[in-house]
Amino acid sequence: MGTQLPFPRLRGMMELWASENKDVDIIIQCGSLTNNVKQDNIQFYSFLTPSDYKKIAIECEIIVGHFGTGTMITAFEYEKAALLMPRKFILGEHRNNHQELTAREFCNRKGIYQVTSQKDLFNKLNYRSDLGKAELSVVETENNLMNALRKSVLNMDVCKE
Amino acid sequence: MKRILALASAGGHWSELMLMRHAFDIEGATEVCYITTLDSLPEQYGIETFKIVRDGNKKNWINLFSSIWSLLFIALKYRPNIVISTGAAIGVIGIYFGKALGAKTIWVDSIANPQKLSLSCRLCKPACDEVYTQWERLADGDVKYFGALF
Repeated sequence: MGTQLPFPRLRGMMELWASENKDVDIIIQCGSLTNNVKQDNIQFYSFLTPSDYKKIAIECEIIVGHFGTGTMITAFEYEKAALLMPRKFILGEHRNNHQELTAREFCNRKGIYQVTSQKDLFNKLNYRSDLGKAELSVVETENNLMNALRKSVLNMDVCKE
Repeated sequence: MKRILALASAGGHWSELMLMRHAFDIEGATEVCYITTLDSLPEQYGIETFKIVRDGNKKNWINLFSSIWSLLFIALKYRPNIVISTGAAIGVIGIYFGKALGAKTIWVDSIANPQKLSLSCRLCKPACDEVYTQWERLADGDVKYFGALF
């Protein structure tokens, strides 16, 4: 649920859903406010190491998280469905409201789902087999960002010692 | 061989830097030192040359000062020809130190900023030789747009 800040609103929803769906194993990374403990079907981690994160990302069925680019990129890389909830500035969940804007731009991508409420989240989790999987689609044109950057780096005149 | 300092804080900024890595980490042409804020993140991507600094932001001044200090030290020692960053705070600091030491500087603003350039980008824009946005609507004379990473 993010690298910098905890997200108790979403965590609470997942705990509730988990208690109603004991057959599903859930792993929650939720910031520094908790110990690494297992409660019923939830394994909590305060912080996953990058290698554990990768392992879990490969093995999981669904990713639930905040609407951050890191989480989206994980979904693209490992081709998973992602249920993402934007953090709200007014609830003190982030330093500004950019996740709501990100959500507006990306919620139509295949496999990337914006969840707006607990009801919406539970509904999508209950029908998770219907969800599509995210794919990384890079625009392969001559003038793309990667090529522009590469050219720029190669052509930059730099001071030689 | 051009020496590049590539900075991104852990999380989305780092993920984006890794997606664009092959644009600037070019065998035979560049050598890159990566800087991020979370231990063992670079190893995960098979990176050997890296440094970890504290993660400062506008609400955490103590860590911010700590990272400013570390980044000054790294920049003085590594003497980059090019500094590149996707954000956030450590990128701003790295761009200014790089510029002060005569490096060329490149900022690629995160795809997470569709309506407005990030605060970090606006802060370091005066010291950037090149600024890229991933949203066409944000491009203007100084800010270039060549599509997005995804």
